[in-house]
Amino acid sequence: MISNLGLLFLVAGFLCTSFAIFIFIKENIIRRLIVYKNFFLFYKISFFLILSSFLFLAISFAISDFSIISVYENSHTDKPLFYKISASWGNHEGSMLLFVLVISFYGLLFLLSSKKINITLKAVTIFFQVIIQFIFLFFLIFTSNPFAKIYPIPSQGLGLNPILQDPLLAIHPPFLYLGYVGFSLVFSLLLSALVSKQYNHNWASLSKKWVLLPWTFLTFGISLGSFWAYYELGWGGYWFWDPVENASLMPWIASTALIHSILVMEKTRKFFSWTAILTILTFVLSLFGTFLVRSGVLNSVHAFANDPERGVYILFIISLITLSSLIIYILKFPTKHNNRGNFVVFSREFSILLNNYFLMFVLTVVMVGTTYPILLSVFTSESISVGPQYYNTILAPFVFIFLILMASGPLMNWNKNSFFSIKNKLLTYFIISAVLTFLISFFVKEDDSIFLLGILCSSYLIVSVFYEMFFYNKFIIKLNFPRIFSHLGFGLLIMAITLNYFFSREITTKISLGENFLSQDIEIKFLKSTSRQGKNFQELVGSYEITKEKKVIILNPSIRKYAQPKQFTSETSIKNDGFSDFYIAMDYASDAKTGIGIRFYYNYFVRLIWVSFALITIGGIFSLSIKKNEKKS
Amino acid sequence: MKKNLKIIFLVLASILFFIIFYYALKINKKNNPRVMLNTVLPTIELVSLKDKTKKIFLPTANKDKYFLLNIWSSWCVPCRDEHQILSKLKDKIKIYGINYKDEQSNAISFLNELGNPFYFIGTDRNGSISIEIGAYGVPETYIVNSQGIIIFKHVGPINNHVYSTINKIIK
Repeated sequence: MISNLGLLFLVAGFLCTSFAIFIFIKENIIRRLIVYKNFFLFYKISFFLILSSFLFLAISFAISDFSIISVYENSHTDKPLFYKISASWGNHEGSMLLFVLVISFYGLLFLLSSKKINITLKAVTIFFQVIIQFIFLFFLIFTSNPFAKIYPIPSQGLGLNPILQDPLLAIHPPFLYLGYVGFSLVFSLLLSALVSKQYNHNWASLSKKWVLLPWTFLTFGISLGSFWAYYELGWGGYWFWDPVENASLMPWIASTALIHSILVMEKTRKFFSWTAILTILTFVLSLFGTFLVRSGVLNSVHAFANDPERGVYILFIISLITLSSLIIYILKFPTKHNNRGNFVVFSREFSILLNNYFLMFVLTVVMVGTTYPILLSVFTSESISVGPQYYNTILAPFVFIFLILMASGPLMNWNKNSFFSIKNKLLTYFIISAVLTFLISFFVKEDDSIFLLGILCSSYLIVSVFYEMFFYNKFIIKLNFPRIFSHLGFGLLIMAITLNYFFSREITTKISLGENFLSQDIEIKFLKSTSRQGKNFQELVGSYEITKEKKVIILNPSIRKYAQPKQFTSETSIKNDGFSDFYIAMDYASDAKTGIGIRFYYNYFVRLIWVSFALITIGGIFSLSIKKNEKKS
Repeated sequence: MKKNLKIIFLVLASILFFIIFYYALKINKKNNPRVMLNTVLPTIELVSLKDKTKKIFLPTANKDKYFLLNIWSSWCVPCRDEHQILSKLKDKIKIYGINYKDEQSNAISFLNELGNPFYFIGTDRNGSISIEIGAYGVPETYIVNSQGIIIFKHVGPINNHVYSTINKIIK
């Protein structure tokens, strides 16, 4: 019954979306009216229809309505309610419905929040947004209907992958979607501005927040995913350059470049075509990410959906959207902005230009690393995977230069060679950070040149941020909190990664009950093992004693055996010592007496990585709240 | 003129992009259910579900023209549906079963309830045998000829339509 209602609302939402397009074409394109009341009305209705449909899907999951295939395949009556509901977006069909809902949500948010902007610009933006919504609704209904039925109705479901039964992961996909699907709005806004001839520096001020909002969500979503992989998957690390991770990283890099270039466009009226291309690139990469994750073209540990037929549709949609948006760009880009503009060396926009070059370089490296295995499998029969070695080797030297740029760029003035006015400051930063580097290197007894360089460059950026914070009244410009937080976060991130890379330890071994294992300064002792019964799983809990430099820590990892679907998961046990983590995971073994394989990690300063992710996200949140204040005043 | 050239270039680039990734989708082995079709079944060792001392190797050398390989599990609901069709096939062809990620006791009570159409059942507790022969779920059905070549494969439960196809093949 409820499933029928859900489908009904979905189809109604589709019809309403189609009708909105029809009205716009009939009234505003053919009859050239500038009244948009009906068009907006239908758009709003379509949002609420899609929202209702999504709620009905969530309800179907909550009440375990197994007459729906996707509920049957992904849920089970034994599951806690929270995971029943989160299972509604933990599968292909439901997540595509969420995808459409987010597109529609951003459209509505834009419609309701931007009262002051030109009505034509607004309407045309919604028109492009509604077209994107139409395309994905079409795809959803005809290839991935979330309400498809199964007959006879099974009495029990197959269950949700236990790895996915984690509170962090349950909220991770919605945030990722609010992130990269959200870039659809700025994309529509760009096409609208090009078509209605309003692509100028005011457009930059207007669209800035529509990049920052999804960017903040995306940053947070990626952090959650990284955090989850660390705690739940038992991989021991925070980032694996896995193709699915890269799929969300690529739009993040492009949008980070976009945030900076849009700033230049607003302040100096340069970068017009570059900003337009970045906007298109950001959204196209978001779609490309969806394609990589959803089509099954990748061989990844994440391995979600695997239906090549759907992949073909998504591929077709990407090609169509990319092609048509670039054609609009070529035909409608205002020629008066075509001049390249003269760049003043050592000006603010010059440093942002270098920043953009760097980000494009990183993007290319990530893109090659992600797609090369796919391309190779097309042209040859080889199948390979690209590992962290590739990324670390290519990216590390450039990151160091980038850090210096991030520290010095904000000191410079727009449109003015500021080298001489800031050179004393740069020197001060250098002296302070060199002293810091020396102290850190003395404290941890490490003098590898890469290590020193990493610490020097990251502390350079950190010092510059603190310097600005403490002496900000001496600056003419007021304190820019969004930048301070996100730049500080990035500086700390690179510092944490450097420390983590050089001082982390990994021990993989097999220990029997009562035995101990010694490796250099770390001793691991297997104390005892106990069994217990959880709500929908059985658990074998081990107890390990870790001794490192006279510190003794007891860790209790476990193996869970789930009933539906039958699967084992390894629950890691983590305890921290300051910013560092002691981390242990057991392998899926049977008997404690014959020995259980364990993976032990000493993760130096890993908590600083989470702190820096949080700081970057806070930077994003600040930028949004500041926008609101400006509006009020 | 310059704009037209750019557009033509873009259209060509998009088509190229589409074609390359289209092929990437098509050839991706992991997701292609036909990948093992018309190839030799990899040699697999099956340990009997009921008696752990009994082992056989597939493909077997015997006089039968064909044998059928079915991957099933007691927790798999569609397996229940196809079970009666397997029972109909029982006298026409030797059916080897691979019991996928299952508890022995559950599997045996499943067979006690619905009947046992299998000539031999091997266990695959961790699913590795099924992965080796290119399966990606339960149920799945293969027909292998006397040379050990997989000549038919069906993913999902077999229905009456598949039943008649199988009948035509083994006639």
